[in-house]
Amino acid sequence: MRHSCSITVGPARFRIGSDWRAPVDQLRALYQDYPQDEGVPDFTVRLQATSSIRRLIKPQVAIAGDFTLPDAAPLPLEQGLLAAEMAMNLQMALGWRRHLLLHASAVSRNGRAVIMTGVSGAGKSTLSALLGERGWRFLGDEFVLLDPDTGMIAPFPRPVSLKNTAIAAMEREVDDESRFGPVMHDTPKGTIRHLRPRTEAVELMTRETRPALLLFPRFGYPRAVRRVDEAESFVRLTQASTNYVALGERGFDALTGFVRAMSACAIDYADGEEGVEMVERLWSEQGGKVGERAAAA
Amino acid sequence: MAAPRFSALPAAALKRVPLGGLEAIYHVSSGITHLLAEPVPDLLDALARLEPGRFVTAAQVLALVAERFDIVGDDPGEAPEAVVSERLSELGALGLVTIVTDA
Amino acid sequence: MTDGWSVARALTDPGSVAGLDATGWTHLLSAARALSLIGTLAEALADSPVPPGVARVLADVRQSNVTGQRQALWEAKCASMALTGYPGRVVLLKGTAFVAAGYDAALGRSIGDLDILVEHAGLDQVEALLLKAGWEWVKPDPYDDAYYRQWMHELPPLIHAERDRMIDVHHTILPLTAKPKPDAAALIAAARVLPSGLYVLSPADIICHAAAHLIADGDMSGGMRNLWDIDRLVRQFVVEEPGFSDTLAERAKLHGLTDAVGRALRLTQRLFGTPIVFRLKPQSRVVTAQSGHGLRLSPENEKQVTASDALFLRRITAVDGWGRKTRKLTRQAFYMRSHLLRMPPAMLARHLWTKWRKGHRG
Repeated sequence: MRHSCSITVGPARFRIGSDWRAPVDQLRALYQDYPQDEGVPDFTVRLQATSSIRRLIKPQVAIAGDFTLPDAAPLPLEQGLLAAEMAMNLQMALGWRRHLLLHASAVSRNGRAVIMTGVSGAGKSTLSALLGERGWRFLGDEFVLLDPDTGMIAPFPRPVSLKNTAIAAMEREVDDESRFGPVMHDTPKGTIRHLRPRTEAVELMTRETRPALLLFPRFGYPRAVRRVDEAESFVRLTQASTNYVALGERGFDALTGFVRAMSACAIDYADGEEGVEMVERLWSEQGGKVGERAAAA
Repeated sequence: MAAPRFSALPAAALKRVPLGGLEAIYHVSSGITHLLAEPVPDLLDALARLEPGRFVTAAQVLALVAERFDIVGDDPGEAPEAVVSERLSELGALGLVTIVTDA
Repeated sequence: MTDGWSVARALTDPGSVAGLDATGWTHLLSAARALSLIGTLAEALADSPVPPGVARVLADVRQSNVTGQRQALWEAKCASMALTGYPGRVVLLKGTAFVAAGYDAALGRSIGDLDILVEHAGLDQVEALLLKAGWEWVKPDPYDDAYYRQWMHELPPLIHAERDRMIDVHHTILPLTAKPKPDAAALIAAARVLPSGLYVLSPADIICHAAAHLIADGDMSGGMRNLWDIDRLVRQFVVEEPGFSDTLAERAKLHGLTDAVGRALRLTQRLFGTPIVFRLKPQSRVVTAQSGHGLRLSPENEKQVTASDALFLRRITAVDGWGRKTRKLTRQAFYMRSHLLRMPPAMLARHLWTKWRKGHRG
């Protein structure tokens, strides 16, 4: 294709081709800390014009690649970066087989990870971004990769996709304008702005970590904590996994092993500060301890 | 029509993991995961303890699990073996037990 | 070479990948994926030394192959259980049939929907039994429904509510609007029973079905995989089925598919070096030739056939190293062609008009 780049995030290498220069330039800038060497990719993504005339006039980016959805609507060229991110997510969601993929965010401390999962808008992404600025290692805001053979988590620390009010919250938190991508208004998800993780998180992204605490956060509710039993965790995580069925028996072994080794809580919190505080508290009460048990098992 | 008779699948056909009070069951030939509440896992256990290939009626299964469970029907008039037979037939429809119905 | 030809070469001669660099591999994998042949390629290269990055990608694909084929067989079993009360034969078609029968063509074959063939008179009963067992209509649109029932060779697609898998119930193997009229009753009568009680088409009829699809159906986007199926099946049947060449010629004639089968075999010969088992022109006389012999046609036919074969081949191999379908002009020509083949023009116009009027996208 006319323009292209290669980007490696955690264990996955992407090749992105584009009919236009702008999305590729934006990707190169946003992923400046990530390896960009061109080996054989795991996935190919194509940002292509919906028709040859549409490359120049009111350009529309069609999302294509190794794995596509038949009804994926095209995006205007100004949102080309978002199109690339969505396409990369889609490749992982539909094509990745080396790990059990959980739609979740994660951070770790002392080699023990907290995994946070919930529906879109539950706040898992922002919470992981906040924790990533406050002494935790950011492991990813979209996918958690669970190794079926070892039970370890492989980091997948893509830039955080901040939406709407979370943008201002993180702009207050992060004192470095160069870590932010362009602001994209009126996307299908509202206003979007990407935040590059701290350099350490990217430098350490090949180092696996052990899961210790599983949380189901809900943002914007009065403070509450509830224990979640193994069966409920299991069911909720099968629904949060895009490749559980595709992995067959390996997925079953990985997920049953995961929920049995994990302490799990549903937490409701009113705002980001409260969320951070609750994660810290649950971590000191349970996370470390459970982590030791899992490591010994 | 004679009563249906039931038999366990070969041991390798299912993977079973207890999760709290429930049991997750992975069915190898379909790749489908089922989450079952008691007494269903016990019905599977009872069948699995028989010698391979042996088919038994719902009443016989009921006798096998009667020590642990007091199975009653939804309606007062419903026989407990009818409840067991219904659950086992559901398991059969999912492919988790084998059913024969003699002509 | 960055198109379908490189995929064809890698499939037929796995040793040929030895010299590929990273770019060559990248293009080969993307092209194979776009042609729905990545699963087959992964199996073909299972014992070849490949670079580590490639090995990881191919291992993922092989894992998906296992899952996909297991799901396909289970879906066939579910349909079989649902149709226990149907007295007629239930014939598996396409990928599921290859896997269920254990044919070589199953190796790495990707499988989508479950396709079954039943006799026309049994459609109502089969439909009722499937609906009772949890399948539902995909689009509850009366116009589409009427269109399918009037003109197509299958029921409108059904999807299982819980397993989210589609089933296509065919009563013959080509749309009723297509020119060839395969003998559906003969297809079902000659089908072979499997231990499960389900049926698959006879070897010669399987080839006829694949050829019919290639020539008369769709916009040929699955063309290369279809030809690979034919190659594998022919190689197996020539060895295992006594008198296969003669039978194939007879069955192709019976179904009105002599041209289609002839074309398909010439194309597989060009792409994959498939042994020639069938000679259709000038007198539809059958010869069994050894691999490597060319086809002998009358001079005027030869010219015509060669030109249109070349068009087919260009279309079938039209994919680039990014997995994009290339050679747009050829594709467009085939797209028009496929519509014309499926529907006489007046019917096509009526169909499109009804769609527009109802505010469909087209």
